[in-house]
Amino acid sequence: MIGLLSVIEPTTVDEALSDDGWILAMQEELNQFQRNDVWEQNGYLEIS
Amino acid sequence: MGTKWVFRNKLNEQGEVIINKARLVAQGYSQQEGIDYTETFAPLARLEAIRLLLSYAVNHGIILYQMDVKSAFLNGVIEEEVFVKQPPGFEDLKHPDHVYKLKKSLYGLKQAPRAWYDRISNFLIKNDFKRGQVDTTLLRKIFLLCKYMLMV
Repeated sequence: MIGLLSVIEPTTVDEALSDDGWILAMQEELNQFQRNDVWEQNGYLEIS
Repeated sequence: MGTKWVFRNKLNEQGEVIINKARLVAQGYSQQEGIDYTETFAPLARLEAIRLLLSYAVNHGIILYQMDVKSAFLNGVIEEEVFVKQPPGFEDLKHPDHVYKLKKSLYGLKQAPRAWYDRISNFLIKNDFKRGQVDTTLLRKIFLLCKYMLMV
């Protein structure tokens, strides 16, 4: 876990997506959304 | 409404990075009153009220505890219909344009603080707490032997 920590704070998603530590951090945030039932789980909707 | 990632490192007292924190925020600046938000007002504890609480506690020998609610805003239920785009970098490749319908508030939403205050105060009032008349952030509950006071 410690090995994945990144010292830099990315400014773009692309930067973050190239770093294992930050990918994990984003995954963790999305897991929290799941736990808190933040949005409708049964898929997304199409916007016309 | 678009969403955006914000990346912050949390440091310990020695200034060393202890955690990489990614937060998904809604781009609330595009919200229009009456369409995707109505009420945004949320009371904050006033310094005078905190002082009063402290002196009351000291005088009556009450022990005070301070608590922090993790990701408080994610617990606020929103009344309005708000749709957000998929998180950047985590889009469904087959349906990149599909959106999520929000049930709880996200950081960055104009109604986020309000939604959280409503949720917590409704819960406390249902559990027999009484809201302060002068300062609405002070809720209290009186028991036979002890007295609970809560400030949000």
